[in-house]
Amino acid sequence: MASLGVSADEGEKAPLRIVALAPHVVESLFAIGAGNSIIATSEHSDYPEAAKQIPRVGNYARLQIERIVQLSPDIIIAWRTGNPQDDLARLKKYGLTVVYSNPTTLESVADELIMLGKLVNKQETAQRLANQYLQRLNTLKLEYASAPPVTGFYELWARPLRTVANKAWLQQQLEVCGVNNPFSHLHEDYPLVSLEQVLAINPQIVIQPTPHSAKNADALDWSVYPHILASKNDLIFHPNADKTHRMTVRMLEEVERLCAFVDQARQRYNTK
Amino acid sequence: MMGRAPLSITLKWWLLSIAAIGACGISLFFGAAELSPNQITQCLLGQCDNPTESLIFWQIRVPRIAVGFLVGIGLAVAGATLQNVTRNSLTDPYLFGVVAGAGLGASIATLLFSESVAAQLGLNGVDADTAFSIALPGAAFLGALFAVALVQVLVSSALGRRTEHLLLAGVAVSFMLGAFSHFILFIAEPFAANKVVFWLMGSLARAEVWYAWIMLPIVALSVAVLLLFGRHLDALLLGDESAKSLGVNVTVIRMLCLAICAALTACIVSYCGGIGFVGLMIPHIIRHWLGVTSRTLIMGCVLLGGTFMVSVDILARTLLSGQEIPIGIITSAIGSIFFFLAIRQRA
Amino acid sequence: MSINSALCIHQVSLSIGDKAILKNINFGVERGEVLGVLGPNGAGKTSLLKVIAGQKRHQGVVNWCGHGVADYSIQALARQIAVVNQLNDVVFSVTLKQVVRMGLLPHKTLLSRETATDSQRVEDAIQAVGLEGKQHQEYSSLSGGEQQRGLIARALVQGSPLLILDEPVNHLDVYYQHQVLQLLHDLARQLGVTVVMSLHDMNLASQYCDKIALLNSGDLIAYGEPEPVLNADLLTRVFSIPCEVKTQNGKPHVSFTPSRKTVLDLSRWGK
Repeated sequence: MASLGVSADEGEKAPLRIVALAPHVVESLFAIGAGNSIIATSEHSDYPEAAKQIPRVGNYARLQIERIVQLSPDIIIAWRTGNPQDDLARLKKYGLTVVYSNPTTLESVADELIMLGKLVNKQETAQRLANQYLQRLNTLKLEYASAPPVTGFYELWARPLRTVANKAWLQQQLEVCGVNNPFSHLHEDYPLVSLEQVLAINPQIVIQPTPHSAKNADALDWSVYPHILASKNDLIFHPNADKTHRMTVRMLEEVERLCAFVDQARQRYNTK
Repeated sequence: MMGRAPLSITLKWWLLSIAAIGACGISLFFGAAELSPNQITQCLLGQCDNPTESLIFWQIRVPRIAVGFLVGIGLAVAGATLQNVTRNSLTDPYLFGVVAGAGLGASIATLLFSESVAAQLGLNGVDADTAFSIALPGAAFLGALFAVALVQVLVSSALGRRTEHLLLAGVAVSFMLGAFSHFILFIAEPFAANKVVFWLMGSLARAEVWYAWIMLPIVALSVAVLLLFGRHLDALLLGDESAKSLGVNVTVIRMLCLAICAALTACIVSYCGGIGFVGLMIPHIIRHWLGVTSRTLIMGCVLLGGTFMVSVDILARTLLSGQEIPIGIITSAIGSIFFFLAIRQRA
Repeated sequence: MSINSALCIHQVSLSIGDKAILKNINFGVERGEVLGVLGPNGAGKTSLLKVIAGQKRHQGVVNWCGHGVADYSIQALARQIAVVNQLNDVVFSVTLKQVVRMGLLPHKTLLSRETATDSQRVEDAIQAVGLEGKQHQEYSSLSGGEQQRGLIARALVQGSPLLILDEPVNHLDVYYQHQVLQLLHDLARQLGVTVVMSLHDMNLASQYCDKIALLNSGDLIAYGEPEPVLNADLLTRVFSIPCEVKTQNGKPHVSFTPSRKTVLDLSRWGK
């Protein structure tokens, strides 16, 4: 959890009762110091440590309507991609307030923080955090803005073989680090690609995200293709998916690591 | 037969009725929200403590139990009728491609109602959600009807009206539509596949008051018609020719039963997903315990089907804390054990 | 065939594809008569019975009580004609009583309930065919003969004025063969039921039938009272086995006298 001071005139009103139905929303709320307003959440909200104690009221498929109604939250913060839409409509029908979190660009994490700050009356803290985040992001962008691109393949899933493209969250991270993703022009955010296509591209680096940085048994074994540049030079990076896949401030740490790795690869290929 | 003296028929009916009422009553005390028995009895008398309790009890819990009972009736009765009409005790209401058709409709709805489409249509926030929550069951219903129509077309054009052909056509349509929906899921965005797969597992969690009010007349009417034609259905058990010589218009009766079963199953599957085995198990039990003739069989299925569904739903809601198990998983598990035992008993 | 015939078969023919099953059959049966249809296998007996019952499309006319059989509605026809078939394809554990009870169906509307008279009728029918005590037994667990008698009981309950039976005494032992045929005879005499049945046993036909129709390969070879029809030359020709006809108790009695010539030389099949 990022360190921050709490201003004296914040948090004087009675604490809000929030149901936060996405891990990234929980993380951001804790980041601005409103973690104790969360009375319930959905599965997989595991950061920070305190989040693991929050009662679960549903998953991507079904929410426990009875329980949420009984909790009588002031606000429900939902995320359409990962929440069941019909259940959200039903909660609204019963008079509960539903607010949507929908960060689409790397910059919008800052907007989200500000929005959350307004909701929980921690505007100052949120603004400060947002500014810090944007500054850090811009620094990162500037650093690699004119760096020569490195061709990379983002192996999101191995079976079926899926990568990122278009306006996907992860694709934006690649752009920050100066990675050239040959599939980025495709129209879907998470397109299916064939192995032959990937091998034909001969990527200089491969990115295989793993949950909790643990070894992913299902991932492609690139040692089978020793002629591929990334494999030959052992330039396969495993970012922590929990960090990169969530639209939070924490993600930037991992993006910084990614960019450092890409730069390392860049040096290697340029000196050859 | 068992060692002890068999229970009288009247006693069996009493047992079933008590079980039905008991299951519904007990079910009231279980749910994701914790309501004390005191609060529940007060709510039953119309004197809930506060509006939230009233909402939970009357808008969420009671409709769910009502829908559960009606769904149990619908599936069991549809199964029993189809088995009598096709003269085959293994006929399942889903053999006519209804689940595959509904699944195809659901897949198409999920594909079309992705984030980007909603944004393009200018629907934001909750409006998009409401639209989706109507679109999914609506599309599933149309898909189910499409499957039934497809089976009818196949049977009447190429194959003739024998029941074996009907079953074969149903299986063929199931596979065909299943292939289509799997393909759609394959090319759709990753979360879409999750949603449809989950829907296919079957759940009563969506049960709302309006759905209960729709199902009630449909189920009641279907059961009434089937009871009315009970004698004709019995005649079918002896074969088509025999039934005809007794004055039964076999073609009309068969089509009527198929239409009723298709309507019942389509309504249930489109809203609640694929809840399997109920249509196979319950009639099987009633036939052995109560009797084979239609009127007895259908009334027995009404009571036992509703009881079973409501009871299993209690498990679905309470086995895991923090979430629900899709009820189709539990009915399939129980169903497979049941049939394993039934086969062993026969051997 | 006279104008008063209750059952009129007029120029009835039936073909399946190129094969002619029935060729220009003509005869009439009076009300309350018992007609036996005889002939070797493949002669068309079953098809003829199906045509009379209105179960097969055919050329020609079948009239019952002045109306074409095809003109009756399905339920009205069931009140006029009861059919007892050979093959039974019963599924599930239906009991004998439930099968017999189905004979009530043509007389019931959708909402009418079963009365005490109905129950009594069912019991009586079961008793008449000698199956008392087996009411609650599973129909499929009964022997072939018992099943056949059960179907006859059902036809009794149905109470139709025309009763068509396809080889009703096939699986029965001698005692029940005579009991059932006497029962049918009594129905005809006492209640005026017209009975049309196919038989294999010529002597049973001779004893219990008023009229006999002899079929061979779709042709009606002879029709009339037992005496003229059960003619030795005719029967020898039709069945390809020499026979003799004597008179016994006033009725013709047929006995077949095969030549007993060896058909198969089995000496080669020894050790």
